[in-house]
Amino acid sequence: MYRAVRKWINIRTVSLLAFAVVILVPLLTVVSASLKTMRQYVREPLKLPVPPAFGNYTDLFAHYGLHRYFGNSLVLVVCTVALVVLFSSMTAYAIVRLGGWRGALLFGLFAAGMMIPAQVNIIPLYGLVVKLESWFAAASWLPDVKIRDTLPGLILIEAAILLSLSVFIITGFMKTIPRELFEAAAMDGSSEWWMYAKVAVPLSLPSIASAAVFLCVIVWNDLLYPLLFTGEKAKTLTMALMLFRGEYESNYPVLFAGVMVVSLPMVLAYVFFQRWFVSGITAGSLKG
Amino acid sequence: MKPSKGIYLFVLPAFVLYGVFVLYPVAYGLFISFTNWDGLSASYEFVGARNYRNLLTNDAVFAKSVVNNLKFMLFVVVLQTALSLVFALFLVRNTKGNIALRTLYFLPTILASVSVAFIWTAMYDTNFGVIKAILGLFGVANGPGWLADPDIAIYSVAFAQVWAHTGQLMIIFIAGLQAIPRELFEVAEIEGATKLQTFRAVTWPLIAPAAAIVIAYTTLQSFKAFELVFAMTRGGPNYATEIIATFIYRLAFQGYKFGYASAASMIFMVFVAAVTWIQFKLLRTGRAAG
Repeated sequence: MYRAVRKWINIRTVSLLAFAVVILVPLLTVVSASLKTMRQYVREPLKLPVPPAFGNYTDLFAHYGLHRYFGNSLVLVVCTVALVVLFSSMTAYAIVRLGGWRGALLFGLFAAGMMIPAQVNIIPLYGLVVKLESWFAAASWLPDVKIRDTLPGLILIEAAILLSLSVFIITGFMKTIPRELFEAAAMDGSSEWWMYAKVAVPLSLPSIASAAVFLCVIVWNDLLYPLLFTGEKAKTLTMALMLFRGEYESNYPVLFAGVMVVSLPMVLAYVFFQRWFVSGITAGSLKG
Repeated sequence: MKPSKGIYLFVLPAFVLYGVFVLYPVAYGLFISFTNWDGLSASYEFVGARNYRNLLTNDAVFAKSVVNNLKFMLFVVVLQTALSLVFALFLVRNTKGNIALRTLYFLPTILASVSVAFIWTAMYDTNFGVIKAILGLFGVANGPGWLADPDIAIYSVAFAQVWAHTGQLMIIFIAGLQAIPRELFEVAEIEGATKLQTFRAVTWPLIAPAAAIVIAYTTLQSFKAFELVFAMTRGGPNYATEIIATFIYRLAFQGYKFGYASAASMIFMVFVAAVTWIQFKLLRTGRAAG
């Protein structure tokens, strides 16, 4: 008996369980505390919420209209990812078809974008957006286009920033399609559009799906660009959460309910599409 | 058979977006860095290299943010690489239990940085935080002021980063480990090598490329940790957790010093490139020697 216990309690088991506890305690605290009142949480932070109180959640939706920000985030993610995947798969196709130095140059140009830290980009980007808006406002023959605090504006900016990453992932995969396939199709008189839509995209679907999932996570979770470019109208869920901090200070149960609302869609997606999550996030981080 | 000129139409939409919102701003940022533009008014003056000179010789907060960033980076790179490698070695086989643990470890990776920041702000709270409650169970009444004590605040934030991303890097190591042919381990076993010898002679040389990727990626992550720091401490108390990214943001969007902040961002870009390059060199010589 003693030896059996000794065998079971080795360094491996102990460290794995210890880390599992380190991961789990904060996560369980979020779930549990989001179902408590502030009073219950302060008195007994470790106790389970029995019976659970859903007041924090109803407050966030009924009082703060969190569903609007939820909708904004959803539209932002769907449109941005669709745009990026379409444009970057087209670019990847052109890079692969061109080949040679032209292909390499285009690939290098897009890949270089991944090396630019966001903090280098945000100041001139903001300046540019302000200037563009004032040009649109000044020229009478142009419509009065707003970029700040509009969803289309934020979608274009997020899409532009994420193109590099997506071109990188999809090109890497599309390169492995045998060239002969395209050459044979071209010989038969197929147009480039046909080959893109009927050959290149279907064969690259695994990488496109990985890229799409990875992009979804990035855009849904992004704070920086919403922080810079949204006000009340186009506010995203992460931005709303950030601002709750100012209102609720350390009313953690309400903040945690907010954390739950922001996290649940991604956690559910992770549970159902785990394979794509892991392959996407690995591919995305391998770019260095 | 060469594609027709029409192929460039495929690149056009991406190129326009990328050119306008990414490539052009980098050049424009370099231009702004030589001015005293405030980001709002139409006029500005050229100030030559004054912004750069002030940043490098006469700005204690900037110097502090660079040092903090290096502390943050070292803490995260060392702890995160070590933990993710050890857990990858432990969980490399695809058993049910291992897969379940991998799934759990990976989970925080998909949380938003704001969420991670709020979760750990609550954990660290010295009035009614969970860590305080747990320490209380062990009879510790007064724990450290995790985020309030300027000496340890940066490491408290760095730990939140490690918590969130160890699982992600573990997955990269596992992919590297699973690519090693099993025969090599069998040979080592037949030869009577100890576990440590096997690791040094077989495992490590073959996962060194994965380690290089993990370290480079973690380094970049450390410089990009803007959202975590901003949502957790906003650089405080008294700039104790100010990193370069929060410094730039604060100057530009709260202090309206666009020119000065742009110069800082240019230095930042060179700094990141230099650190990445040094690391690359070190890892290469390390591999050649080992």
